[in-house]
Amino acid sequence: MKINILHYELELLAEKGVYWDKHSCLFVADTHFGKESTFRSHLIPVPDGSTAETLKSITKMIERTKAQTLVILGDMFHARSSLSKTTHEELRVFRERHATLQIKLVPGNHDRPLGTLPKAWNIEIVPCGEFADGLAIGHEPEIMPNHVDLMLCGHLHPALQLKSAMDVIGRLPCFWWHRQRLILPAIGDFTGCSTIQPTSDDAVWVIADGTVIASPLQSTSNLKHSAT
Amino acid sequence: MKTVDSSPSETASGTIDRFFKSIGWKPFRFQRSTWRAYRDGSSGLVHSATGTGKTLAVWMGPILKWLDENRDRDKWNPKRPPGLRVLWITPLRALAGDTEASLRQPLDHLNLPWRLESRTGDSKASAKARQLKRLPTALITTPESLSLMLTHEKLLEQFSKLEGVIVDEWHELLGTKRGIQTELALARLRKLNPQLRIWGLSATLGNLEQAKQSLIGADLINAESSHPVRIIEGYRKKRLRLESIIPERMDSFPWSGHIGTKMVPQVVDRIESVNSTLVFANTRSQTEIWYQQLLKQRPDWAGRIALHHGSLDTSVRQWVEQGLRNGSLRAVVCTSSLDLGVDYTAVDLVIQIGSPKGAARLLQRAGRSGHQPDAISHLAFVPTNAIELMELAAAQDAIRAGHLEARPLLKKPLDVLAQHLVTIAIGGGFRSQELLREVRSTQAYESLTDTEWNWVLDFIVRGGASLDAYPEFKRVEREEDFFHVTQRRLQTSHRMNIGTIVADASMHVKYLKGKTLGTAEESFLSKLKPQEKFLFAGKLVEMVTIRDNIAYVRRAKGTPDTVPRWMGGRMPLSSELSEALREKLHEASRQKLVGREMNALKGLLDIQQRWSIIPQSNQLLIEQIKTRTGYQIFIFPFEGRLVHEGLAALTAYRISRNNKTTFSMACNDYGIVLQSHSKTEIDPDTARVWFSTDNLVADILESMNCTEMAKRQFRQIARIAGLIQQGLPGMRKNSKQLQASSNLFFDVFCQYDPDNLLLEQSRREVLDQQLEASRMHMAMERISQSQIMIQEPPRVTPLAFPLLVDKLRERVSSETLADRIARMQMQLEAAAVRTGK
Repeated sequence: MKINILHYELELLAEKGVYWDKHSCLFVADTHFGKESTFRSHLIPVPDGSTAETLKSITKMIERTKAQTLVILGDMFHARSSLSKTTHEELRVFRERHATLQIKLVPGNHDRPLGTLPKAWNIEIVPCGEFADGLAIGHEPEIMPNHVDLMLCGHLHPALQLKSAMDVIGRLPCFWWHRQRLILPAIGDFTGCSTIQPTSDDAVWVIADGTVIASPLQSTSNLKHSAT
Repeated sequence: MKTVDSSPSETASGTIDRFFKSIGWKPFRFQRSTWRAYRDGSSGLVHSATGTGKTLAVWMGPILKWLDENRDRDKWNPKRPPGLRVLWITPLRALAGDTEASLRQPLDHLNLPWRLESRTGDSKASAKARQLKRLPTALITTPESLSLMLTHEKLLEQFSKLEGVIVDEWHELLGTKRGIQTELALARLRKLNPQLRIWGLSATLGNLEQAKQSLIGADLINAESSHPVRIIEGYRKKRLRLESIIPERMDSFPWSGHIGTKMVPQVVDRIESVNSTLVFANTRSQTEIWYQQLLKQRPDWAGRIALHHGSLDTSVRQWVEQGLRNGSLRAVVCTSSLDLGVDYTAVDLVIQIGSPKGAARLLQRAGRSGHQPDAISHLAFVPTNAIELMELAAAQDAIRAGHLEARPLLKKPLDVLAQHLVTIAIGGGFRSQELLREVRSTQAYESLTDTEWNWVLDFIVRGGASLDAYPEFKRVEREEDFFHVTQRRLQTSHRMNIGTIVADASMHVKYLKGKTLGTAEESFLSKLKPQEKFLFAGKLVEMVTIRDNIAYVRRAKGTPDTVPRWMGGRMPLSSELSEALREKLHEASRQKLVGREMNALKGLLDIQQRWSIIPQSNQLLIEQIKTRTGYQIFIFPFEGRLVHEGLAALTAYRISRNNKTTFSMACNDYGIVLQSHSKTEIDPDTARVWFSTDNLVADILESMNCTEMAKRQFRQIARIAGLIQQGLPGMRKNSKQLQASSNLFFDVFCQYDPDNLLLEQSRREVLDQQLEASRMHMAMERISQSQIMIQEPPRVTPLAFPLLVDKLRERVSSETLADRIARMQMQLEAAAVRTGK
């Protein structure tokens, strides 16, 4: 779904990424790669496969949008123990497939204890700050640089509870426009989500049955409203 | 204390006779036969009502035998007590203290040089460490603590000398995973000593034979043993008085119940009329509310009435139990937490608030009063809504006819088996074939297949059966056919996990200054905002903050914003009681009202008859009506809540298969409501298709995908099998990276290891336990023989009303989410236009 926030034309993708055509850039948040390895290393048998699945949906978005750049908005890995042999192998395959892709990572709270990432992955670590045209990238919504118009970020794993007197649909992962931030849903396949309480000035798009739908509970006219 | 003098050469039974004389009792015949059977090496089950001398019946067996073997009193040396002989398993650790006191009594009277101790989760670490070196002559313990002991290899030698195991209140464990845990531990002990005697104590049940087999094991029952396995019936003739407290003006009585606190004055009168009362409510929230209501009515009772439920801190509960024993408390409001336990002889009256859900349960609760073989049990029933009066009438019929409920058994739960295998692997290791034989000697795992066995072995060794699903994972180590554990980390975490079969994810509730009030479910506490006020442990408190898995609160004034809701504990109406209830309605449909309860309902039944019909036992009533919130279909099978949950999902699924629609559903013990935004045309023939048993299991499973039931069931399975580590207070910080909800686990397993047998188990448990599939099948067979009566009443009828006000919970939909969101949008816009925004 293409949306206009302020003067930015962005596309919200059902695979939980945001694509900015002007800069051929794909944004995703909270991949939590290797989380299943972390569980296994703590004697909890969680099957393998969610890291591969997450990488698969990123690949799908890259191939459809022809993105040149991938920005990961923090929490790329779950913990130090996530960098297992299996995870290494899965990322190596991904990197080979997208050899020319530029990958940038804004480190999140989970990434901090990791140390340096393997050189072969060729991932540029960038701090929270302006990316282009007054649009900033970050991880935690609370930390917002000055003098920017919009920040793309993650960390919250937002989901919206949809219910009315007649129907309860349940929690759906969502994109949340909230006080100059666009908070992305967590893309990691093995991640949970937390229910948000949007205000009437916010806008929310939920992901339902593989499509992006504007939430009926908020008005998207808020976008124009906040542009003025 | 008075002791029994005796000459050194006196026979053992002579000594016992004199003991009984000294406490003013005469042994019952069933007690004597139990002693004889024990002496002869038999195992068995003793059943009878509460408070009729079961404890002494089994406890004197081992004592007599020892006396027989040690006639020369001069050789008794209290400084050198005999080694471990008897293990006494109690279902609740809170009971261990009381049990110890009542078992000690004859030991003291007889001056026996035995050492009697307890070992539970509450025991001191120093005592536990001492016990690891040398166990006492008789040890009182819980299923969890027994499992834990099996992780200590050095105890096995002492266990092999064990002469008898006694399992108290076996009916409470039967049909639960803790019961299975007990069965497996007993199999282990039997293996260590094939001559082991196993005795169980149970209330009277509908399936005593099965209860016996689960306890003694499939092996022993089948073997041509020289010692027959006995079922001994205890003292039977306990007199019982049941009555209902009926409101003076029925027309002002609510059709659907909240808490029926209108009845508080009458309840106060009853409590006033006797010395000591137990007030049973069905949920912990109701105990909190009733406690407040009683205090409001009688502020002078502060300190003389108390509250007792499973979430309260142990010290509070112990204080209450002490008060019950010495008769200093006028009344205690409690949940099933006081269903068990030794005799509170002081209790004169039991008050049951709301449906008891089963005849056996009602009988057992009544037995809590007049706790002596010759006393009368007295129970007063307080309905929380009008229709519940019918349940008491039905329960009286069922008791009179002897239709008591059976405890359905669990079949080979693999989560408990996985936990047990790790236990044994830690406690010295095992060889596969040997342990398989042992496990199959239990009733629960008698039919365990080789495939299932190998899967569990794979699961505990490398996570699952699939070779590439769990790289780099290792738990139990395997060397050819020998399985054992050497990692200390696993030993510790496993020992911590053993106690988790009962516990749901819970948090401690504490005052800021430090005193612990008790525990409540994390799901409730984490939803509270700071300063929100709630009733807990009989006090009004407000939430301050949650830190390190502890909820800090302070005292508050005013009115509560909420009462904690504890999950579970919502029993369905038993099938025996359901049947009796249908019979009562049948009688009413023929204008036949028997007893005070049914006569009090006359006005209400007349309205039901006028607006709709009262269904006869061979009829199924369906009522269709439009209300403000949508089109309602009420269906009244009267089969109990669990069966209704399944039937609701199934019916909604079958209707929505043919026309795109979304149903919201609610159930109670009487019926189902399906709510939709468009009208469903119903005639008897279409309705008959909804209840057809064709394709039943496939359709249930299909409709279940739309609900979250399997996920919910998986939560417990994942915890028992060790997938989810139980968070302990203060442990949260370092385990943060291991936080994942069981829903997430469920999704990940479904996607990446769909053949995982624990998933299969969660589906099976939903069918067997959540939906009671076999009961559902029988219900549908019955319905298919029934005449279907479709009514369109002018107003919501007395039978339908409780369903309508119940919160709609589950949903079944054949529409896309996008369609449903679009409709939601339209509704919201329409509402906005209406309010003129």
